[in-house]
Amino acid sequence: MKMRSALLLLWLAAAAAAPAQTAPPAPADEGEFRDPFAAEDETAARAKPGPAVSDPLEKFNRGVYRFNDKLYCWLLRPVAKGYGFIAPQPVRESVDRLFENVKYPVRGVNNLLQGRVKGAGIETWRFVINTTVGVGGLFDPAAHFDLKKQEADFDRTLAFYGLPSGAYLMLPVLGPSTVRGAAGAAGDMALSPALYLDWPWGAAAGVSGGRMVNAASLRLEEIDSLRAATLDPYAALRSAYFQSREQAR
Amino acid sequence: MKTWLPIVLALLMAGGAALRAQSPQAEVKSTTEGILALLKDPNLQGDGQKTARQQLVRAQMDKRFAWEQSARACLGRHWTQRTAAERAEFVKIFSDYLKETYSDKIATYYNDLDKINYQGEKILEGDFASVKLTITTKTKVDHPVEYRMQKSASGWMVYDVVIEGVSLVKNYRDQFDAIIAKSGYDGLIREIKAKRPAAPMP
Repeated sequence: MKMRSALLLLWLAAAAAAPAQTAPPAPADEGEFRDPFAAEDETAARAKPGPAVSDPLEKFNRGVYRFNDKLYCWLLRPVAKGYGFIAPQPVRESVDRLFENVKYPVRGVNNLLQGRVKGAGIETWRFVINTTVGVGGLFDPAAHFDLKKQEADFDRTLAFYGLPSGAYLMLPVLGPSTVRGAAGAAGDMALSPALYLDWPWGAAAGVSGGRMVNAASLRLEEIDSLRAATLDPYAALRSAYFQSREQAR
Repeated sequence: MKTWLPIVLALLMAGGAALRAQSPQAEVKSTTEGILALLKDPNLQGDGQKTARQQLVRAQMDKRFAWEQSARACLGRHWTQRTAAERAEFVKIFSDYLKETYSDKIATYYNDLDKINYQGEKILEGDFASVKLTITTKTKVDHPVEYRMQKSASGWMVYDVVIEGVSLVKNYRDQFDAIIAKSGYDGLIREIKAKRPAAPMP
């Protein structure tokens, strides 16, 4: 009996102590908010090889950002809105898939260049299935065979071979990138089938303009809400770009 | 032995209250399901019900989001340089701004939702938790989302949301750094006040 009482007492003491132990400390509002997860992120970023992205060209970049912003507000947005009004969303999604399907060489080649043979294989199967069964890429039946798009571009390939990203660079029309990203975009363009078709450059420009309008029409809400939810949209975009960059680095 | 009984019962009840505090993931899940139920509720559909719907969603979010802690985390190192009155003012105007901006937006995110996969939780130092999930859209695109939470008297509360590796708090902190560097703390307060989408909600 004595033993049992003692055990009971012990248990009671433990039960009484437990809530007190787990109760949060009174909020100390003196210091900076302590965030162990953010601290973990920073440690992980520092442990990665290569320099982090920085923005020494901020003045120039902000200028390009203002240009892109005006381009969006005055041209892209109204056109994409009007187009979105005429073409129903499923149609625009199909057109988007078509353009993505045509970019198969970019993904295929860069998967190979990065030694991802399986990725290149999946991309090739996707291209074959979606171009035939998927009516030129308007639909994505390959996804039903568990063949998911294997993103790869020339920028990642350059990174794979150890080229540092260089400074943050805001590209006209294309948006946030780096010096290496600009070279990568040029490389991707070299793999664009549109470049090898014998058509007037006006038609090529028209197609790439159409592609932008179509893509924008699907993301208007996203872009507008980004603009609405930010106090310094340039700094917000740069922060988001750096953060996702750190993940991929 | 009988004299023990009331004490044991009382302590069991106290212990039970502590046990009822759910795991971080369960908290995220129940709040998410609560909001989804509101958005699906046939009585709350259409533009006529918009205000009622938004208020109910907002009430659900208020139960799970530590807006004040988020606001404080967004100010980062500048927090220490502000007086108590400035801190109180900042927490008020910026947490109002966050509430206005995000509680209306959440409905549009859910419109596109196909399914949510919960991928477990991680607890740091006993008082901090991270809950990871993948949100799949109707167009079959996966978006990784992470809720960062802190334990408080009212359970596990979200102070940061990380979407596709981009932390909301860090994003605002970087914006604030840029604004404060250019136009000072007063400039930041002016910007937030100018950006407030509407009159403060009740």
